[in-house]
Amino acid sequence: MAQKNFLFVTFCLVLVMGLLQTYGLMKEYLSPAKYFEAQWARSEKKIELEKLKIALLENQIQDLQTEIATAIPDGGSGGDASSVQIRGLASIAKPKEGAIELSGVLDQKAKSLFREKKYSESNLVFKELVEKYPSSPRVVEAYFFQAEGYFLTGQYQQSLDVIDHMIQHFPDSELTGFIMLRMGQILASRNRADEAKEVYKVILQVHGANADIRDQAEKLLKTAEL
Amino acid sequence: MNSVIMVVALFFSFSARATSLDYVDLPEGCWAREKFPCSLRAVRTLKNLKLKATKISIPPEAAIKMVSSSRMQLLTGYVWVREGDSFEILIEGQVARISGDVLVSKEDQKIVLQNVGGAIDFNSNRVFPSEVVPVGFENWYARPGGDGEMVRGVANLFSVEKIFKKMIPLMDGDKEQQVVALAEWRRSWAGRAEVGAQFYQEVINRRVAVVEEQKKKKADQKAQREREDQKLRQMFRAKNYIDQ
Repeated sequence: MAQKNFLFVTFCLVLVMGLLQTYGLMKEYLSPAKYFEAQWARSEKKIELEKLKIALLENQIQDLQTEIATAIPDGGSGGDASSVQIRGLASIAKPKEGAIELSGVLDQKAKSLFREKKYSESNLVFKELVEKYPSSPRVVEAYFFQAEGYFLTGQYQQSLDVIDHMIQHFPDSELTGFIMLRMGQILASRNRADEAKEVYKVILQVHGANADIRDQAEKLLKTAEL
Repeated sequence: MNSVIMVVALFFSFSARATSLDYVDLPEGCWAREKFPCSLRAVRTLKNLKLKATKISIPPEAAIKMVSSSRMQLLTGYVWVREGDSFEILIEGQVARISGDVLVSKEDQKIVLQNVGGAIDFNSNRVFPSEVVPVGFENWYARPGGDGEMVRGVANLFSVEKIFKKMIPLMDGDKEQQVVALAEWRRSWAGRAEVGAQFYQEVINRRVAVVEEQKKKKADQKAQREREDQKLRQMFRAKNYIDQ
């Protein structure tokens, strides 16, 4: 009898617990608060993800700043402004592999005109490239071809002006070394043989590491000495 | 009686609430799948996350980017690298290898390394290899300067109170156990003042010597460049060859 009573009490307890649990679940499920809780949880996750994305972007900017800081040489700290070499970013920038280079279209067009010996037209396109994309790594080539175009069409003064600009802004570029050979030739054509020889000697000194430039400069120097 | 207790316990177990958001990761799910690179931002405190043999603890609002399972970049906040085993921290393109316990913090675009009980080794030619950060010391590192060398402070003694403020939220155990652990930490840093003076002198002497050498080299290069440019400009700008 006692056992039966005990079983009955246990059964009633389980039933009551079950009913209470079901009531609680139904109340929670059908309650509007539950909906807003779920919304809130979704919004919280979204906000945290956005904060993570912002942190990643800030990090990317800092990485880019680090790359630029490493690439740009230390110039002018504590020095006189006029003694600092004028340089554009194009003089040190290297194109990133796989990156889309928008100045490439103008560059191709200009070079195509150059190959067809349409030097005046190619110079116009090279000028446009330089104006629109001043920090593009193709700017050095654009100046080089302009100077060469002027030289080939006999516009020596314009060629010298462009060569001067290259010497100031891209002194370390091998294209500057090559185009300075033209400078020597212009001077030689104006019966300025001594100055031409000086130019070739400077080219050998500054750009002598490049075998092609060295060979050409040596040949032209020999010619100038005769 | 036992069955009654069991039934009541079962009731409470069904009433348990669902867990809330602990962290977010990008790409989503990368952390659980251990797919790197993986960025993670802690929403709640994350203690003792295992990465191979290393554990890291991250407070809320800190964010990291795991480039690989043993190389980390700190994005925001701070992280406690615990029991580090050749764990690498990327700092402005350089790599600091950590063993033991080190706090890594990001403060005002600088990375601060606080050596609470480990070793820090920079395998880089842009940071003096012998300029380690001893136990009980901290140092900051920032973006490289124009000469490519990493800009950094001189390692100095860290403030114990500030360190404890960072460590306590990430420590295991109850309050009593934490007090014992903190006392242990304090004891382990006891001898650092004596190391300090000699260490500073060595670091400063070495830096001064290198800076002097670099200055001289730059001055020589600059003078050489100026001489060459001057020569070229003289030839170029002389009026007598600009004929019309």
